[in-house]
Parts: sequence; structure tokens; C-alpha cells
Amino acid sequence: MKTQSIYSLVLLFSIVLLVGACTPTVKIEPPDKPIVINLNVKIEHEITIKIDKELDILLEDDELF
Amino acid sequence: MTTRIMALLLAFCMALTLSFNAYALTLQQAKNQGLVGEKTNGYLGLVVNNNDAKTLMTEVNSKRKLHYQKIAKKNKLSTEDVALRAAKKAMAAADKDHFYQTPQGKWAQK
Repeated sequence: MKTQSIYSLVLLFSIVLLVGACTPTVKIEPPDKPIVINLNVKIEHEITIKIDKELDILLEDDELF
Repeated sequence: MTTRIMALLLAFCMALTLSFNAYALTLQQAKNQGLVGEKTNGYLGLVVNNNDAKTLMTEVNSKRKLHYQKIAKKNKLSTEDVALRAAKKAMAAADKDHFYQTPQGKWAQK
């Protein structure tokens, strides 16, 4: 019974040590520059789809195309 | 005398048919005959220097421009952007043997 509690204590201690040893390596540094996400591609794509529909209607007109 | 009248009549008839033909030249005919082709900027171009085709081309291009402007305004784009997109579509949709302009500016047949 006593050896078991010693074992668990050692285990707990080693876990604490492990976690403690890991902590400084997980360091998140905030970027000094602002994060810029460019959404132009998506917007452009949406517009293309929109005008494509209108152009398709135009292309059906024999007097235009 | 009769021959003169006959000749005049013939000339009159010919003129009539010619003018009728000029009026009846449709865009599809002009494209089939290879008179006009699709340019890279979204407008029609003259492949063969022909007055009727030229008139038709000017007319069609002005109509196209109006439509491009309308779409451009609606989608807050420039007319040129819409026209370029239309050019790509028109070229893709062109029938066989119809003319289109290559990026180098030369006429090619589909």
C-alpha cells in the first residue's frame, strides 16, 4: 500500500516535471504586423458569376452576338 | 428603244435587290459569310472590308456597348471589364468557321 502511494507520487511528480519542462517551449508570440486577410478573390468570383448570367442572356440575342 | 427600257428596268431591279440585300444583312449572315468576327475587347470587328458589314458592325457594337454599360453599372464594374468577359464568352460560344481575333490581333477561324 505504501509503495503504491510512493509510486503514484513519483508518477505525479514526473508528470508535473514534464509539463513544467514543456511549458516554456509552447510560446505564442503575437505578430508585430496586423493580420491582413485578402478577400478580393471571392468577391471577384461572385461578381463574375453574377455578370456571367446577364451575359448569357445577352449572348442568346441573335442581333447582338 | 425597247432594249434601253429593258436595260433600265433590269438596272432598277438589280439596284432594288442590292439595296434589299444590304438591308437584310443580318449579324448571323455576316458571321456565316466571314465578314465580321469577334474581337478580344468584346466587340465585333471587320474581317472583310465591306460597307454593309461595316454598317452592321457599327450598329451591333453600339447596341452591345449599351448593354455592357448597363451590366457594368449594376455590378459596379468598368464597361471594359464586362466587355472582356463577354468577349471570352462570345468566343467560346462561336460557331464553327466563325472568325475571332487572337490575342496577337490576327483573325482566326474556329
